[in-house]
Amino acid sequence: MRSKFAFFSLILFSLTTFAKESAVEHPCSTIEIHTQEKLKLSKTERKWICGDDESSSWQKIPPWQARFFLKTFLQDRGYHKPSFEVRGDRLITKVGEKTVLKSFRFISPPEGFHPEKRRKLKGRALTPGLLSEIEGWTKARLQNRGYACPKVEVTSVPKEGSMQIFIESGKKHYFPKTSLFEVRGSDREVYLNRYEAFLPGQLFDLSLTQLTANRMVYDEFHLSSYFDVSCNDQNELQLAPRLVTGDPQLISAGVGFNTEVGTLARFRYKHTQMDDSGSYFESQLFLSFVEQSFENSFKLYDGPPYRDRDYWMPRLFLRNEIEGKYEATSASLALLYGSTFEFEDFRSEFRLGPAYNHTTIREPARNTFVSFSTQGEFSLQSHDYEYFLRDPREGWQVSSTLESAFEKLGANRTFHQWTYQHQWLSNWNDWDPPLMILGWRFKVGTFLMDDDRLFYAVVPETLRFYLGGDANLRGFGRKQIPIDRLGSMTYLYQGFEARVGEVFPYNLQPFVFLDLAWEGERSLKLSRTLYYSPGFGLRWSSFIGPIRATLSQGSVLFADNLNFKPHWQFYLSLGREF
Amino acid sequence: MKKLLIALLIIFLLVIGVATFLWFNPSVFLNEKNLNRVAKSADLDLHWNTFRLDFKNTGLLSKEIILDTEKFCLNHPPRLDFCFDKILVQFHFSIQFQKPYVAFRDLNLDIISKYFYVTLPDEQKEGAMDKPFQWPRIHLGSLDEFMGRFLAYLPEETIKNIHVDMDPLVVNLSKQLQLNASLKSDSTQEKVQLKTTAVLNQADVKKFEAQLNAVLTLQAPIRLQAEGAFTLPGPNMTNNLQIHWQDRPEFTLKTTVDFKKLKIDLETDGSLAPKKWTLKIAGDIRHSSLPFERLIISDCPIQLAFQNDQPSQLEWPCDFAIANLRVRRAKGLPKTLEFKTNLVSPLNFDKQNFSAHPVFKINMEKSSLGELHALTQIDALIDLDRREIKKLQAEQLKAELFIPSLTAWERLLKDNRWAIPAPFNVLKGSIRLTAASRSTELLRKNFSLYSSLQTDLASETQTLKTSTQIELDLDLQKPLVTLSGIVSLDDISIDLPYLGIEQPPQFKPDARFMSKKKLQKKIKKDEESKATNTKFVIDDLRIKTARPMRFSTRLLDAPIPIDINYHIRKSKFLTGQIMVRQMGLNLFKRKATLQKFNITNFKDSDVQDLDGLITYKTSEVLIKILIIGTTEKPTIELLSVPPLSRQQILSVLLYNKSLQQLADEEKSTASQMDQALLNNAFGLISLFFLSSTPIESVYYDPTTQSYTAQVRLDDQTSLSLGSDFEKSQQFTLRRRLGGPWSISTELEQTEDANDVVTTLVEWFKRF
Repeated sequence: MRSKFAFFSLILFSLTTFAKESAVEHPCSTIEIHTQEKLKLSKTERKWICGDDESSSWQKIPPWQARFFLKTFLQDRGYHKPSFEVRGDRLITKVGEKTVLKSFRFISPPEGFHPEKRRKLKGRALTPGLLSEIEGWTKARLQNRGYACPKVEVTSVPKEGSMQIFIESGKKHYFPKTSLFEVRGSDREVYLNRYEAFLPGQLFDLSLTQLTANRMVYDEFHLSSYFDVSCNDQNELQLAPRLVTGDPQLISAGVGFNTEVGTLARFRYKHTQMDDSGSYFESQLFLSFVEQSFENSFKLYDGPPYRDRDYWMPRLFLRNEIEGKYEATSASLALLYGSTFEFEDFRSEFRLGPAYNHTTIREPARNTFVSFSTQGEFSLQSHDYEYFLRDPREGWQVSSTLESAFEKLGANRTFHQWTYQHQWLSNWNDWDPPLMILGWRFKVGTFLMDDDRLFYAVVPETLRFYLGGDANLRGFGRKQIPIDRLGSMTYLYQGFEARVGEVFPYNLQPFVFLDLAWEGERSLKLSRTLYYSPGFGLRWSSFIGPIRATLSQGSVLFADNLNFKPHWQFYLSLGREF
Repeated sequence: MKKLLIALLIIFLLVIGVATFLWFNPSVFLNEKNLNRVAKSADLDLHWNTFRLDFKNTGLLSKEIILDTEKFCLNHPPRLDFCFDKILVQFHFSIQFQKPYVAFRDLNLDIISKYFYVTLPDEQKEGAMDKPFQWPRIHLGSLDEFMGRFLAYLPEETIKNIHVDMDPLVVNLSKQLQLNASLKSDSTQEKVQLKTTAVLNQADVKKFEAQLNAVLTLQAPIRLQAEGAFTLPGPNMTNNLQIHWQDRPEFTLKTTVDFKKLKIDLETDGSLAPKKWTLKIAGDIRHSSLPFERLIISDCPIQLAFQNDQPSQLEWPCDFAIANLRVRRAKGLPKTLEFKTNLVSPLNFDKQNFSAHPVFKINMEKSSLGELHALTQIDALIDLDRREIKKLQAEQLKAELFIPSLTAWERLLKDNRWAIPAPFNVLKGSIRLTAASRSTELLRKNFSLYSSLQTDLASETQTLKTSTQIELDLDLQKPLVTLSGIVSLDDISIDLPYLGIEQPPQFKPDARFMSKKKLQKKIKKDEESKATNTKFVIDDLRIKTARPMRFSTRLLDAPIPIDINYHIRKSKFLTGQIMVRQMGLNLFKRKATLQKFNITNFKDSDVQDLDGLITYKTSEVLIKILIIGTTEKPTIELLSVPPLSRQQILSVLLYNKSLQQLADEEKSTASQMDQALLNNAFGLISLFFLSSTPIESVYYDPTTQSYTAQVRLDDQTSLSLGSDFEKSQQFTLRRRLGGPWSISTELEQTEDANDVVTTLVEWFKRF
């Protein structure tokens, strides 16, 4: 027994010892590499150290040259302590330990730079890529704080595992006081007021130029835009936009199938440059056996190109629905006036205008709903929120809508639908990249009418409030709440989320959340029944966008005879963010 | 007057009389009693057992002197302490009126000493003016003749008997340096023998040891034979000396050194004739760290000619060889490299000045490795009194190194750190390097050197033919080296290394990684912000090509033709151009033509201007891609004939289609690509590599200023994600069916409805 134990111990010991020993790689017969981690050399690298049989000039590589190249390739991977030995025909390389970054120091950072906020550096392999990354990060951080033309130099002492970042920030710059820019590459001058995310004379911030460029592209007027930032010999800021516009008109036609309406056909027409001011028109015709719709919308600007922020937005919408439970035809005509205002840290937008709605229900019982309503929207959005839209981490957004229908203008009864929502995101301790992102979502809505009891008779189902789904209560099915009736008159929702930032590999970000909501069948009143769903999820920032998966259990407090069985709810969504 | 003369005469006669009396009776004053008195008055501890000093008059002008003493001892610390058991000196001398003016014979010498200690006084440094140097006039002929200058009689007549035994003989040269010697000499009728030993110690450590045995034959022909050895224990050096003097002094010195890895075996044969001294040196030197087994000195006779008993001409031809080069696989390489040197110089001693005009030549014998010829002629003048060099002028300097075959050097060096790197190690041909200098006063420490380098090298696919003429001015006092010249790249064709479709690896180590010492230097330099001490300045250097250089790479069908015309002045004004000539290339997987690509440096500019033009032609349109701006910020502009929008140009380049055939998302891809071009996120190299990669479209994120290749499942299928970031998101998989047709599957998620999946076949047109 003892001998068997000793024998197996010896085997185990040998295996572990063997496991600790370095692996030996032979990229070719003349090179031997001892390494503890697998070293994958590319084909090009192998040929540079071993020789290229296909090239007479590069077939034979002298040992010192192979050693020189190998040293460079190893440095590129963070190995700074290789040892070399020539034994006969072979170059024997012991790669040694990978050098990781142990300490770093910013030299002469300006006030407000806060280099201590940079994380995810220590412990990483000390490679040229890491040095370039920190150089780019430092430069961008300086440029986001007013230093438009900084000089940054990075050095490293591999023996100590240290990195030094030398900063010459230069002076602070400010945005030009004019919004009229000369477009680089042309002799045009354009106003960029409509898209500017910065105020004239504001402290320079590179992210705001990027935001401005994004707005121009998202508006679909320009296919690409970019700001060229440089400083001349007198160290004055030179800001020049580069714009590319495309062909303005698009027409498309398609036939297909979808899970909701079955066979369908779709026709689209878009004109993104109706006039010099940048007005646009879009029309879409959608045909299926279940639903047919015709949407048309304009956005009309005035004045010289891209100067004005005011616009008119006429819309015409026609729809015919042939559902199993009902058949209806609806038409909507609206004329909204909108405008945006830019502040130093945020953007505001409001829209207001009347709308005419006509709905005729043919089945199960013929009925006609006509109403004139007003639609009002007001929103504020911080620049941070807008800048990090594709990868939310910081900022806030507030919006409110008011839609009114008037009895004397076609509606059965006068009622007003008011909603308010805000979203707040915070990068905990301002780490870069973020360590933890905290989020708070708040939504509230109610109807205002003189007699609450007429709500369900007067207000169409489509306008009522529903809760449940991956947009609010994630532990409940889509529009599951209210359970016992069709829609609510008042609701209040709050959601809290804590998401891990860039900590795990492969861009995986787990998070936990808690959704809370109340609803009520009266105006400005909420029942005491609390719907809540704690849960957890995983966000993956893929190359095509964010993918979120959540698992949550919906529960009810103060159920008051509600027939509800708690259950686990899973959601998988693409592109949706908190 | 008369009385004076008489008085003088009387005095003179008295002096003569006294002198005559003393000549004939020297024992009156040279006697034991007087010696005692002198010792007492000088406070010397001098004593003896017996003392006899006799003078016998054997003629008017001749005498016999006998000194016989026993136990003759003197103690005078710290300088002298000796004791002779016996001193017997007996000889006969006579005065004659020809050389030698004093003739000795019948010398009987018997000296026995048990100890003899002497401490030399500290050396007094003499001023240069106190002891003027002068080469002694030495005339070394036959021993007979030499001794004849000093001895009137034959040696066998002069010496009757010699017996000297002094052991130990100790001389304290300084506080730590002590010489312990012994001296023994005996004579017979035929010869006198001498044996001497000496050991020099420094702080009780033996530094030097010597012994010498000499025999002087008294009967004709007189000859001297000596044999001795001296060793230096420190470097383990042994020297065996043999001296023979009959017709002329001749000696043989054999030296061996065996110290750690160094081994030296040298033999020097000297012959010192009256009109010519000859020293022949031969031997070899070995050291295990040298790249060869040994250095052989084979034929090295130093000849010094004399005129009027002073050196008048030095001639020193010397052949040496480097034997058994330590190379493996030395096939075709010579085993030994032979060199011939020759130093010839007239010498002139003119009162206190010494002048010489050495001419030195070195030639490496013709071998597969090469030929080396060097010649230098110097004019030197030395002040012997002041012991300083008054003039040191290099009249002429010429050197030439010709390597007939680089292949031989490649084989010689291939396994060590000096190996010729690829791709140059396959070149065959010759290299010629010459250097010359005008007449230069070396003491001024300012020299000019002219040098030229010609390479005539080629291989199967490469060529390296250059000619360079440069002038180097060296000012050792500053120190400063200034370079001017012209480098002509006559015919260059180089194969570039393998480059794959992936990003090329780093070519050299990143200079941002440094040692702590270098970092501290950098920080100090930045803090002080002072101009660096310029040690090397390029005053005026031109680099130009006679015909375009050609760089071949597997990524292009034809080599890249590049012309250079650079002018560097004062190390900072760099003007000139690097021009890439017209060539075909692949761009976005299409055949295009690089019409030109020039990198230009203007005076007073730190950056290089770019001027590049790539043309791409189809049956309908000619597209021009302009690469402009600077190397720091390159910019790409697109033009076409007929004029298309930038977007259309990109679409034609990327997809080889006209705009009408494109689907919407391809347009978006093209615009993102354009954005990346505008943002210079693409380096010029990336632009080139992109055309070779299988990934055809890119997604550019202006927020993070990075680009990522969007995955295309195949040539016609793409993935994309659209989001309004408010209420809905669409995930679309689209596949082009050809022409304006495509099929797409879309997943739409909205707040107010269930997820909807839609599949459509669509037709697009942009106008």
